[in-house]
Amino acid sequence: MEGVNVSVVIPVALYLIGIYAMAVYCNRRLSSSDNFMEEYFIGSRGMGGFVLAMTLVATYTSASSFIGGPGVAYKMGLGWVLLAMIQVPTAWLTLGVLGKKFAIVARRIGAVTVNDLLRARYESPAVVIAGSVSLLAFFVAAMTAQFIGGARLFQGMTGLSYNTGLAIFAVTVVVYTTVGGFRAVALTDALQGVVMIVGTTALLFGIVSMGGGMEKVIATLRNIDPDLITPHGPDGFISKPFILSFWVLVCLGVVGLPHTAVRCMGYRDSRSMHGAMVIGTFVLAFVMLGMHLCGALGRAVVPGIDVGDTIMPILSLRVLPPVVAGIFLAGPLAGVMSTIDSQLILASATIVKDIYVNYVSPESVRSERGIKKVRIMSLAATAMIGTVVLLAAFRPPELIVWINIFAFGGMQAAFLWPLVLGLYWKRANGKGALASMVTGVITYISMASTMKSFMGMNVIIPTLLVGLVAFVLVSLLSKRPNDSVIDLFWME
Amino acid sequence: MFPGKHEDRRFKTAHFEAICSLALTALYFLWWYGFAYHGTDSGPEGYHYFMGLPGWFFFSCVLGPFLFCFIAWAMVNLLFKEVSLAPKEEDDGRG
Repeated sequence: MEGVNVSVVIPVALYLIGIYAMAVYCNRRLSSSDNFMEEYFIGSRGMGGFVLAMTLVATYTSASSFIGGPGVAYKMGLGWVLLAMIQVPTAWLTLGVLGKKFAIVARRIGAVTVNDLLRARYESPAVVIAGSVSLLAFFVAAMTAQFIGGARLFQGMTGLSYNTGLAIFAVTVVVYTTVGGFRAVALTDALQGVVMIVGTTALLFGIVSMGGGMEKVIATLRNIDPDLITPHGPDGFISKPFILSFWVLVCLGVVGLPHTAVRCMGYRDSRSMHGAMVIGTFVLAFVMLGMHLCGALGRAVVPGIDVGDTIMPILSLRVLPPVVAGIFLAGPLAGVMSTIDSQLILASATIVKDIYVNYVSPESVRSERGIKKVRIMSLAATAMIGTVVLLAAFRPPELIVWINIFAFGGMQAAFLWPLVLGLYWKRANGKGALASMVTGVITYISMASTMKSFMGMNVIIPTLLVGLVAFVLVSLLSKRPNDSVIDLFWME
Repeated sequence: MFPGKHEDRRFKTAHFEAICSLALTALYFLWWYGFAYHGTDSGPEGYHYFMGLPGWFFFSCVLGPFLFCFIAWAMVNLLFKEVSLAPKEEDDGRG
C-alpha cells in the first residue's frame, strides 16, 4: 500500500477510537435498562437539547452535503450555495411541525418508530407494511450511496484503497450502531456534529487565506467566469423553477423523512425541543454555508479539478496542513456515518418492531424468553442490514449523489402526507394514507426513472401533488376514522 | 366523539406552534428570494460588495440565515409554551 498519508491517518484513527469508546459506554446502559426496545431504538426518550440538535443536523447532513454538494458548488459557483441555504429552516420546521404532538402521542402509545405512529393513527396493517417496505427499500439505497461516498473520501485522502477504506469505515458504523443502539447513534452524532463544525471552519479559513482574502478570491472567480458569482450559475443552469422546486425537496419535504421524524419523539422535555430548534438551526446554517462556500471558493484556489466527488478531498489536501486535513476528513466522515447509523437503527427497528412484533409474534414482548429473543433479533437485524449494504457498496454504481436524492424523494413520497395529515387532519383515514403512499411512490419511481425533470422542476413536486390528491379524495370517499383514534390524537 | 371529552390543550399549543414554524419558513423564503433575485438579473457589473462578497449573496446567504437563527430563538422564547409531554395532560411528566 504505497502512498498512505500517515499524518492524515492518525487523527482519523483517534477519532474512530473515540467512537468505539462511546459505543461501549452505551452498551453498558443498554444492559442495565429494564425496557430493551425503548432503550435500543429510541434511547429511552432521554435526549437533551444539545444532543437533539446535533443528532438532527448530523443525521440530515449526509454524503451529499459534504462531497456531492460542494463538488457541484465548485462548478456552479455561489448560485449553488444559494440552493444549499434552502435547508436552513429544516431544524425548526421538523421540530415545530411534528413537535410536541408527535412526542405526546408517541408516549401515549409507547411508539419507538414512525410506523408505530402510523399504525395507531390509521389502524391499518396495509399502511404499516407499505411503510415498512418503502422504508427498507429506500434506506438500503440511501445507505449504499453513503457508504460509497464515505469510502471514496477515505480513499482520496488517506491513500488507502477503496475496498480497505470501505471496510474500515463501514465496519465502524455497523459495529457501534449494533452494539450501542439509538443512544450510541445520538451521542456519536453529537460528537460528529462538533467535528463537522471544526472541519468546516478550518477548511474555509484555509481557502480564504490561501486565496489572499475574500475580495481577491471573488475577483479570481469573476475572472474565471462572471456567472460564478451570480445566483443563476454558468449558462443559467440554476433556473428559477429548478431552484424553487428544491424548497419542497430539501426544506418542506424533510418533515416526512422517517429518520429525522423519529428524533422528534425521542427528546426529554419541551425545553430540550426549544433549545434544539435554535441550536440546530444555527449549526445547520453554519455547516451548510461553510461547506458549500468552500466548494465554490475552492475553484479560485485550486482550479481545474474535473471529477465532482473528488473535489473536497483534493481541496483539503492542497489547502490544509496534513494533520489538520485529517481532522477535516473526520468531519465529512462524521456526516456520512451519522446518516447511515440512524437509518440502520431505524431499518432494524422496522424489521423487529414493525413487522415481527406487530404481526408475526405479538406475544413475544410478554414473556421473559420472548424479550430475550427480541433482543437478539434486534442486534442481528442491525448487523445483517449493515452487512448487506456493505456488500452492495463493494461494487459501487456510478453517480452516488443521484441515488441519494432518489432515496430522499422516495421516502418523502411515502411518508410526508401520512405523517403530517395524520397529525393535523381529523378526517384522514387508513385508506387515504395507503392510496397516497402507493400512488406517490409509483409516480415518483416512474417519473424519476423516465424523465429528469417535470416542467423544469424536480419530480418530487408532481409526486407530492398526486399523493395529496389521492389522500384527500380517498379519505373523503371512505368512512371517517374511529372515535378512539380521534381521542388518541386530539383529546385529553 | 364521546361526550364530556375535551380537546387536549397541549395539542392546541402544538397546532399553534406548527403554524408559527411554517410562518417563519415563509418569512425566510421571502428574505432568501428577495435578496437573491433583486437586481441580480443584469449581471455582476452592478453588484455592491460587503465583506468581499457580492451583496445579494451576503444578504441572502450569510446575513439571512444568522438573522433567522436569532428570530427562531425569539419565536421559541416568546411564542412557544413549555408543556408536559406525559400521556395525560394532568400528569406531572413522570407518567
